[in-house]
Amino acid sequence: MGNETILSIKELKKDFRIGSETVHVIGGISFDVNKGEFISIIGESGCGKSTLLKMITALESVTAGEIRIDGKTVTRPDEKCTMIFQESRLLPWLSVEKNIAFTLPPDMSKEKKRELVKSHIELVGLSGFEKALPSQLSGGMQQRVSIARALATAPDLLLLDEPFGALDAFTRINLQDEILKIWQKQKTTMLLVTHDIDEAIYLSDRIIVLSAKPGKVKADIKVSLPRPRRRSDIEFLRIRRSVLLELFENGSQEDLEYYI
Amino acid sequence: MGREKKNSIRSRAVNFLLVISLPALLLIFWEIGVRNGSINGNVIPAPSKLFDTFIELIKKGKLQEGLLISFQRVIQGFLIASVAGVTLGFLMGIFASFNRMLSSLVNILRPIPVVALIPILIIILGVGESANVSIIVVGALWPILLNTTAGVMSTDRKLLELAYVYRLGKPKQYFKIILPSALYSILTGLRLGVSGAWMSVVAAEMIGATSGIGYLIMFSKSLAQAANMYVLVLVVGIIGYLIDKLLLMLQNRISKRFVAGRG
Ligand SMILES: Nc1ncnc2c1ncn2[C@@H]1O[C@H](COP(=O)(O)OP(=O)(O)OP(=O)(O)O)[C@@H](O)[C@H]1O
Ligand SMILES: [Mg+2]
Repeated sequence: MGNETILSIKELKKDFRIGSETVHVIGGISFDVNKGEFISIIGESGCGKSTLLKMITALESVTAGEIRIDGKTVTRPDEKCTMIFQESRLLPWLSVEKNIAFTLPPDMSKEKKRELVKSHIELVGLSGFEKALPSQLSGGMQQRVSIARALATAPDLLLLDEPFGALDAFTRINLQDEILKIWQKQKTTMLLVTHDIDEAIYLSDRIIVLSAKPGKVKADIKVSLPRPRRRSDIEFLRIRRSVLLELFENGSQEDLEYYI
Repeated sequence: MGREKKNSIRSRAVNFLLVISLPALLLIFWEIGVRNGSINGNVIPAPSKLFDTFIELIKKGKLQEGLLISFQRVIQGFLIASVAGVTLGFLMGIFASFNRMLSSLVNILRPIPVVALIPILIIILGVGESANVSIIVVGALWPILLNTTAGVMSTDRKLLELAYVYRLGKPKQYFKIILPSALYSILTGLRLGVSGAWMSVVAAEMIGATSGIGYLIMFSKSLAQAANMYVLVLVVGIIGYLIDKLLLMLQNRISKRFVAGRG
């Protein structure tokens, strides 16, 4: 793994106006992401995690500071970067294969498209469902389609905004393994927003803990356990405890006991 | 399965009887009333007389001739209204500034009954086809325009965000996301537009034409041919009903094919 920076965030700030008041949602965040890294962002609800991803994809404007992807300041959605949303966001009138082909570049040849669609349907384990409409799939399968759609565009940087949040524990663990496999195979840089501490430790090289009001980087925790990781390992649990301590620094001991 | 089928045939039959019973009863009492003299047959002719008149009108070819002309006008007016309504409605749905520019004008013109515009259009365009067709255009335009705009504006914002992040071009956003999203609503608008066109052609022909089914109604009135008048008015109603049924069927077919997964 080279130490080349793919994403660089410097003194990033975001204010929203709600009525006549200005709310400082993100108050000066800085961190760098290296090529090929798997990073998780964790923080309490409302601390600005989705807002951060939206700024990286230029869906939200930047109030102050700077975001650079491969050295280029972000003003429009960057072609190296793609996002998987919390909901699958499939076009309901298109079949699985057409949904995946939909976001491929228009100048790509028909054969190349067909090939990419086919291989990515296989990758997420949906062979046989090529012609199915989203309404004919379960929530987990729909999310797989949206993962396939994102990966087919071959991004260097993939942003994931709680992509497994709405799924049951069983499907979630399955998809985590799939994402991990894909990451190991394709070396895509991953930036994952999650609520799930276990998920963050299971998957990432680094966990960035954000504080709220305004959002700031509270801790940047390195996870250097070998993969595949086991959720019951002593070391796993130790890291879990340190993430919890960061998250509940100001919280009561009971909160912590509850989670542990 | 077999049992269910039998049940559904039975419930359909019951439904049909319920739908048909009131009109049938009305016809029976009407006929009896005219025959025993409690209804004046010169003002309200008996159903049997109306049926004879209907056959006679068809034999003479008057009815078909009038309908053909009216249909031609409806089709012309409806086509113009569709193109204008869908285009303007689409633009109003996409561009907020265009919407603001047009909406006050639309909201003032829309509540005016078509009949009130007929004299104005006749003064401007003179008696003739262009006046007739313009009246139909106005009668069909509003539902098409408003439903198109509403359909475009109801497009899921999250899909547009997706398109933005994946850098899909504007044409792809308009024609592959917004248009399919709005399709069902546009079809509803077109269906209401045809109904509007049909009502307006009759009104237009009653006032400013020398042919068509509306004209035939006025002509019968001036000759005091009560039976003819009733038959023609009933035909107008029944055709309007059939057009709506047919288009509803068409709409459901099209939307099943293209708007799958939308219930
Ligand atoms: N468009 C907006 N206008 C005004 N305020 C906004 C807007 N978008 C987000 N906010 C505010 O910014 C804050 C952060 O929102 P954000 O969605 O980024 O939180 P989050 O960390 O993703 O939370 P969650 O974990 O619940 O998804 C919230 O307090 C929210 O009210
Ligand atoms: Mg969020």
